[in-house]
Amino acid sequence: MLKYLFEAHFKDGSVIQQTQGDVSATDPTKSAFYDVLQRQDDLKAFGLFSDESPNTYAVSLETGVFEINGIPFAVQDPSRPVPEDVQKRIVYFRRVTRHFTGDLTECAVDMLFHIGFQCTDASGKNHQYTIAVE
Amino acid sequence: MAATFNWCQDNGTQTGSPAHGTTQSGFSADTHYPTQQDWKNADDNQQNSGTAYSAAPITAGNNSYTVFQYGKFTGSFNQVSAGLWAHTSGTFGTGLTLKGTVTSTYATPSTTTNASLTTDMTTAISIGSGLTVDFSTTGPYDASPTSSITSSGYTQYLATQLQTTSSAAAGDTASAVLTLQYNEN
Repeated sequence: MLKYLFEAHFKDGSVIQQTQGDVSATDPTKSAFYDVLQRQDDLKAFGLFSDESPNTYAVSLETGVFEINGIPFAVQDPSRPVPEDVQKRIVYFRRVTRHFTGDLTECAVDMLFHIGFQCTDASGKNHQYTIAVE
Repeated sequence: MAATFNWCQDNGTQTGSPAHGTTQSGFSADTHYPTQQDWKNADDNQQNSGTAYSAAPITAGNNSYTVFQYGKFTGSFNQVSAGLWAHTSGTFGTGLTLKGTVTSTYATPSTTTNASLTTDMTTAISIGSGLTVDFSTTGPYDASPTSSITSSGYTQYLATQLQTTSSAAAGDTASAVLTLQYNEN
């Protein structure tokens, strides 16, 4: 079970909502995020929600602003402001950590959900801005 | 269901090209997924007609057979990447050394001290300082693994051997936690 599922909002008002099945609508060997990447240029916002938690987490691909429960905030290195007027590309992955001993059936699994964006500045350097949710 | 993960293990005489174990538990369509990853004086997988570690103890001064373990990813996913592997907690007793490596090369396991296991994993470290693990859609033995896969595949071999001296205490070792980390989406 995924603790958080994502919702991707596009400029035309359409939404891709991940389910626990997490299967692409166009390629059954891929996950729902594959469908998001196929329309990345039109992605407006991307968020995480959960049945187990009242909290929601989102990032705007238009402004680079993050939100937790609707409260906006920025993620940045003060010495390197987020480049403006550049395309922001979605970053989403789950960092899976499997701890195991001799008994593999007692394997503990931690999952961190990372969302954010990356962009390329005028000098060609790539920057990533993400948050991680337990 | 996202990516499905299973542990796999190769055992037995190296065979084929590239070399792999004669017995490949969990590989491809095989479903004898190991449920134990114990260092022992036997080269087999208990879930595949093998031996319990309690029936194959390592006597002080000898080594375990090298264990060639690896991960298998199936199901629906876009990408699996950024693999790391380490011994992350648990303290081995006097006379015990855990040696390991991430490799695409399988060699017939034996209890001879395995010089190919170049990393001393006896002391626990954070997973962020772990060994890099690459992936392949063909098998753990792929000579050109990549940092990510976009369809079903495997990690490289995560090979370990527990080496002992005559000062090792009798009985079970303290439990050691090994960790495999990766990103998926």
